[in-house]
Amino acid sequence: MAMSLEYMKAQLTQDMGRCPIPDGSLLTYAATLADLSDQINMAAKALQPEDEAAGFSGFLDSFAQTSNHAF
Amino acid sequence: MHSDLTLTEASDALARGDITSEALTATALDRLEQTGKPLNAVIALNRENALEQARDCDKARARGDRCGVLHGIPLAHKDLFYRAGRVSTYGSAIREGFVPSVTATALTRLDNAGALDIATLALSEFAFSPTGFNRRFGSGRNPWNSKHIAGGSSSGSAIATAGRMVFGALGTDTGGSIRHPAAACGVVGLKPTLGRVSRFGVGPLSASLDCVGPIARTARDCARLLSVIAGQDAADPSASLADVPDYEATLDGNLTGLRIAVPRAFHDAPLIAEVAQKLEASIEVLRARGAQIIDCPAPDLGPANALGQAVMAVEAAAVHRPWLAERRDDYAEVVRSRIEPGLFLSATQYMNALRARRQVLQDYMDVVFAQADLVHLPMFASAVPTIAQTTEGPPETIAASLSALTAFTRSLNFLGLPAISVPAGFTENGLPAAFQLAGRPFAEATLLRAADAYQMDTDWHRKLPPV
Repeated sequence: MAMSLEYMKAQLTQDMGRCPIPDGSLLTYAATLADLSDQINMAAKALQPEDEAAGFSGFLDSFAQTSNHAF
Repeated sequence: MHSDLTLTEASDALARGDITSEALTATALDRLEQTGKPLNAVIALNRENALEQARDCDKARARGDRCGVLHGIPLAHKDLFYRAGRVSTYGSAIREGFVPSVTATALTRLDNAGALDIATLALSEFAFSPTGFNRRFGSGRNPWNSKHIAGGSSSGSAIATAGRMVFGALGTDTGGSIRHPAAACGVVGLKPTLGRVSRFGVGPLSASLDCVGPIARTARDCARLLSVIAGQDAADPSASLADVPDYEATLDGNLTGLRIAVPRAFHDAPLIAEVAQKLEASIEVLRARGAQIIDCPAPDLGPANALGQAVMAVEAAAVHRPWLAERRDDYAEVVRSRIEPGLFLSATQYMNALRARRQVLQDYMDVVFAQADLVHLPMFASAVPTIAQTTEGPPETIAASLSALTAFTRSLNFLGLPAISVPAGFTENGLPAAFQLAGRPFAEATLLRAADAYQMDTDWHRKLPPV
């Protein structure tokens, strides 16, 4: 579901003290964000609490598990 | 002419005393001035200092001093590699006055190997555009036809290397920014495994995706450059502790036993037919060198592309937030529109996108590398477009043109995997075509071995652009 214009303006005002982004751009972003949110939520459904490889170290550690230099 | 030599050939010529570093450097500086600047490849030349350093290199060699593997070779790099005391623009008006106090580890390592840093090279604004678009410094122009894009964001690095201005250059790759311009300009571009090369002292775009790597005329040149810059770095905790092999040592042309997966479904539309033909031709060259070609299903690039886009937007927004608040008009609209959505994604969404990365990587590995060592992929879905095709006309047409450039590169950054773009001929519009190989984590040696073997039987990298 797309974010509302009011929510986006309020969020940015809280973060930056004002909203420098025009309404037209915010509406365009809302559509992009809805799509990205769907994709993230879909991926997150498969996650378990123990999936902690969020940062660099965890992800780079996972390389060791997937790397099999056969050649 | 000595500027036509590859990096390793020039290095050999220097060692034999056939040529001097001063001569190489003087030619390089002249070509950057006369050819590079009209193509918008150059930010600033380091003429006096470079020539002085070149003369010092020649004296050291004449004395019999021990010389590094890049001794006296003129290079230049994307203008987001910091050198203490020198302006680093990041391709933006916002950073035109920024003078860093540190030097990038990658530059320090090149210095220690004897390379000369003779210029700062142009890039897309804040390294954001796959075309080389830059409103402030002018968009990169392709040395094969200046009406066409040079690719980006490491546009100057590829133009200067393809145009025989320097023997190689460093770039950075967050969604294809080494591979795009290398492919568009007809040179080799290597995006190493995430963490293979230190990012200390490099202007950040997205910390979870950024990679530093070389652009050069041959895979062998890239191997030499990577051997110098790769490895752990106390200044960058994300730099891998994995050993750095001698990447040049394994370049023997023999691909017997190497298994290369080919997801041929990617050769269908929207890939245009002549690009697909170039890909098939490159596969046959690799097969003739002994590689075993294995058909594999096309991996689903959707999750990696979407999650990577989310991660990049959030991380870039965190870096750019102060400037977006104070200097929003100094950003090109196309750059702003890729950063600003990151201001609105929540912290939990960001963390979940990162947490999902390991599983997305595993899914990709299961499909592509179950029975193979490398995967052969398209670089671009179409011929290299004109600048007008990527900047003028209906937004949906421009979006389609940009999508054709990035569809096969972005996912590999989210996955962290190494990949190399290799010249594979020319399309009917006279612009370079390329293919891409990707490998398992830290499989740079295998990638370089395959690309080098391909270049032994092809001469695309010997063709000279008309500049």
